[in-house]
Formats: sequence, structure tokens, C-alpha cells
Amino acid sequence: MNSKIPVKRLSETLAKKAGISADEAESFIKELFSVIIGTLGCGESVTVTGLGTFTVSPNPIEPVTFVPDDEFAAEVNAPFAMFEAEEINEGVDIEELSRIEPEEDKTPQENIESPVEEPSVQPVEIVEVPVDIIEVPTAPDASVSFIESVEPEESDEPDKSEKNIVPNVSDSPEESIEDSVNGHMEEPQTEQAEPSEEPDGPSTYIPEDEEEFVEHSAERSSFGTGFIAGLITGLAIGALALVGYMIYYIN
Amino acid sequence: MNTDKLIEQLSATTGKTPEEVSGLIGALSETIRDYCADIDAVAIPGFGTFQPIKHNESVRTDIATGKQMLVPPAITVNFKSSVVLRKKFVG
Repeated sequence: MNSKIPVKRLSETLAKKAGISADEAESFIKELFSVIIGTLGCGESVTVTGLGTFTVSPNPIEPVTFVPDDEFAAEVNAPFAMFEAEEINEGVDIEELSRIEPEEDKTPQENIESPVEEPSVQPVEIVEVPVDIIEVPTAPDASVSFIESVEPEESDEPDKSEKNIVPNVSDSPEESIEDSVNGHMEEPQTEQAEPSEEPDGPSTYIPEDEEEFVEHSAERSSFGTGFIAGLITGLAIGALALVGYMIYYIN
Repeated sequence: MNTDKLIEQLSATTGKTPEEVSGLIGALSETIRDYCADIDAVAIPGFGTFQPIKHNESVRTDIATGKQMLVPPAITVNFKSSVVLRKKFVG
């Protein structure tokens, strides 16, 4: 595919098909096209069955034009023979077509994956609303409240761990609102305290939004890059010191 | 010149029978078609190159009706004359 077939290879293939020698096939090919050139030189067009028609043209860039046979054209275009030109409906933006097509290719995969992902995504979105309302007064309770916020349905159910918080939310909405005002000041501290106080640390960190998760991961990655940079610097200094010592020792 | 006259002339120059020449022309045409169907160019020294070209799908507007048509992709065969042939005809 996408290669140029020289006359030797062409004559070998012809020889196999016709049952003659390769030299004989090559000489026949040369003779055939020399006759064609001679005929074209006389201003006459030449038709070769199964191939096409060669005609002399006044165009200096392309003095010989070639029109392939129907059989030739059909065989070459066989992969796309079943397609036909279609009318585009009015109002269809051609640029949108080019944008939509790659998305349409992805949709079957998305449809397969979405049933797995949707349950994990939806609770996160629902989390946003209750977290704004529910306030986290203390650190240990805060962890519980965050867990609660992930599953808002559970807040309605009386759980042992939620004794301090659920009744506050349901019984005293005013307090919850006031606390939420104070809680906005405290929330960042409590959020920062969570990973250090809890033994699980990062495993219990449940981000409120996706943005928070991205920031959290970004902080961790910036720490990692700083650590690596410091390590590389230290190694470089150590190597330099070793080289200087060796030079001094040799001298 | 049509194919029959071509066969007669070749038969006279090569010394082969017209049936043999016809068979050889048919086999050569089939060989060139097979290579071009595989998107391989066929080069004939001193004559030119048969080059298959793939055209991507495109949108064309019918000037008469003003409607837009989505033209499907296609593969066509283009012939490019060799330098020798161009010099022969152009001078």
C-alpha cells in the first residue's frame, strides 16, 4: 500500500499470470507502451481494454491525459462503491457535523461506562447542597458530618454516630444557619485538621467538590515536585564535593 | 486506435499470435488494476505512472438548486506523464 511498483516487479507479476518468463513480460510491456507512444505522437488516441483511453492534450504540463475504463475505475473505488452523495438537510451546520462525529464515536463507550460512574457522581453533586447547610462544629464530628453529607438520605435516619448532629439539623434550623455562618470561618480549619487528626488521613478525605479534589491533588503534586527538586539538588552538591575531594587527593 | 488495431500491431512487432497478445494485454491490465486497487502506484519507464489517489468526503453545493450535498470518499486513478514523454510532446 502506498508504494511505487517498478516495471521489474510488474513484469514478474505479469509473467506469473500469463505463464511466460519475466524477461519476455518486460519486453512485451515496453513494446506495448512504445506502440502507444508512437500512436499518440501521430495525434491519435489509444484505447486499451481493461485499462482506459490515452489522449494527447495541449496542456504542456500534462501532454497525455488518461481516462480509466469503467472496470478499472470500479475496481479501484471498490471500498467506497456502496456510498452515494447525500443531500444535507437545511439548517445543518457542517462545522457542527465535524465536531459531533468524534463525540458520537465516544458515546457507545460512554454509555457502557456511565452506569458505573453515575452512582459515584450523583452523590457528590447532591453533597454540595447539604454541606452548605450543615455545619461542622468540632473535628471528630466534622468527619462524621462530611460522611453524612455524601449520603444525605442517612441524615434522616437515626444513626448512633450522628446523635450530636442530626437532631441539631432537624430540630433547630436556626442554630444550624447561625452555626453555618460561624462554620464558614471554621470550615477551612476543620478541613485542614481532618487528614492530620484521623489515622486514615487521605483515605477519609472526602472532597466536597471536584474542584477541591483537584486542588488537594495539586497540593500533593507540588509537594512531590519540591521534594524531588531538593533531592536532586542535594545529590548534585554531594557529587561536586566528591569530585573536588578526589581531585585534591590525586594532586 | 482501438484495442483490436493495437493487438494487430503488437502481434506484428512481437511475433506472437493475436490471441496471445490479447491475453497478455488482459493480464497486464488486470495486474495494473490489482496494484492500483491496493493504492500502489505503477511506474512505466519512459511513459508515466498510474497513481491511485484517495479523495476525502467533501461538501459541495449544487449551484442550480443551492442545496448542499455530502460527497462520499472515493479513490480515483491519476496518470502522470514521465519527463521523457513530456519532452517528446512538448519539445
